[in-house]
Amino acid sequence: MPRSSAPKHSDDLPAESGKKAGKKDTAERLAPYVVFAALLAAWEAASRGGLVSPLILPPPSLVLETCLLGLVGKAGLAYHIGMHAMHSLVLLFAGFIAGSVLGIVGGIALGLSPTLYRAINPLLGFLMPIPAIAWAPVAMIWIGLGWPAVLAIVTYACVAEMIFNITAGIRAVPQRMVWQVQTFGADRAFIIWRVILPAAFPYIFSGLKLGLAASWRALIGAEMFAGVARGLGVMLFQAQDFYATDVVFSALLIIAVVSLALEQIGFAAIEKRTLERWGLARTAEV
Amino acid sequence: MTWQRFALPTAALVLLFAAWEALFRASGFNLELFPPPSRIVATIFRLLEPTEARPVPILLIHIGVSVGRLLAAMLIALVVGVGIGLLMGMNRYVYAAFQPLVNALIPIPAYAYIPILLLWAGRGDLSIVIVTAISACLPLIYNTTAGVRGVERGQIRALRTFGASRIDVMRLVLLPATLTSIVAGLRLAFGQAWRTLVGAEFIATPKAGLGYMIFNARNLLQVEVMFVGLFALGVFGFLFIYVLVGRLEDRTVVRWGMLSRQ
Repeated sequence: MPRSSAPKHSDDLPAESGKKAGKKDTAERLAPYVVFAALLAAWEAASRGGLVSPLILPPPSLVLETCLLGLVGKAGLAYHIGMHAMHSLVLLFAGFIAGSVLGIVGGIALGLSPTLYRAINPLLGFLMPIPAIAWAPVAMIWIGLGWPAVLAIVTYACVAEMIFNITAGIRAVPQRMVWQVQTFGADRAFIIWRVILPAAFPYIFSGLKLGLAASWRALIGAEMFAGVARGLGVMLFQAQDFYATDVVFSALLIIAVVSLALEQIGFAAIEKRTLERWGLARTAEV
Repeated sequence: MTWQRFALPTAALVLLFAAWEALFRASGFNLELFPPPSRIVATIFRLLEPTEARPVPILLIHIGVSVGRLLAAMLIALVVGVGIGLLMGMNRYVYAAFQPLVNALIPIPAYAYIPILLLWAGRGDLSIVIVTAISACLPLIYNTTAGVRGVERGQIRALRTFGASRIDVMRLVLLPATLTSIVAGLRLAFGQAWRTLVGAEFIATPKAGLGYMIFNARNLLQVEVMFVGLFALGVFGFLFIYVLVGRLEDRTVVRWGMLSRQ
């Protein structure tokens, strides 16, 4: 039961009312900016005008100010967003890399060996619906409070998310491709490296994407209570404790930016270089 | 052979549990902290036993509270998510205005909203249900929008020509045609909600729920209770994400021939 992810780009949806994709009228082009500006203005006005307490909803200008000051470390050490973000990102990538290696190796093993697959798949199927973060308290006792426990959770989240995709990808490689090269006398190593893995590459790739997202989710969640000293999740949670609402919102802003960056920038370049060049994925029509 | 399909996983499971049991017992670790499976099973039965003071077994209370929160959140998410999705799918200006916002919100870990909800609504059911609903809402909005936008415009025009109202169009064309993607969204939404619920229960619950049970067991160093909680999360997560949504699929889109089971 692989979890399918919804297509992330709306550009490949059929165009509406007979219009060609990408041909938007002026109102459509302006709409997102107008709505965004209106929302921000209303929020700013409500907060500045005393409609809601800034302790509940700080004005966006203040959030942005705190955010920028925090990024360069001028908002006090506890709210040094730049430093917290660095700590989070280091943990994220350490966990993601470890998790990807484990996930890819495990996925390939499960995909290639039908016996192993049949033996272990039901167990994995049972583990899948248990959220990675639910293991955090166990990790906190077995490993101890602090970053190693968080790292373990981030790694596990990545492995759990990836292994299904990669296994599914390898099992989806058409058997006749293997038969074809076997006819020409290919050995097992050739089949794995030159046929199966390249054919499964799109799945491995989407597994990496999903794995990174899962790691990021688990990281922010686990940081909030696993007793690490630094990280965006910690900052977010501590600021909430001190009712520093502007700091909470600026941490959320940074988390939002990092989330988007991880999804959009990180993989887009690799995707262009590999999948699209090899003709495995269509170039999105703009 | 069919017996092999069950024999192999069972053997693997038995082997795993035997190794776990033997390893932990031989290790000399504190078995309270490193419980072997036999202790975990015993704990399940202990937590399922009604006592004088508590006629309903404690485990069932935690499960009931968590499931209740999940269903409340999913109900809100379904109404709000499908509603917004229909609006965004049917009107291209609404779509243009809000689609970038939805795309920006989807990758944000929902856990990050918990501190804000704690500020706004305090610890308790309200915060937990809202944050869970938010996390479940986004895949539903996304999938409903995509589903509606995928509907052949000619079908809508044909109906309109014959005098159908917008409500008729929604009921007769859009909803059935969109149901495949809504149900797919529902599966994602249940997964998201389950994850978010547990995180929220760790942080924001005053007294009950599976997340609370696991987190509270940490304070008492009862690792076996944590494993019981994890087990329950697995069972009920499976029931909601796969069984319930699968049933829903069978009853609707599979029966209508829009989706086939391999």
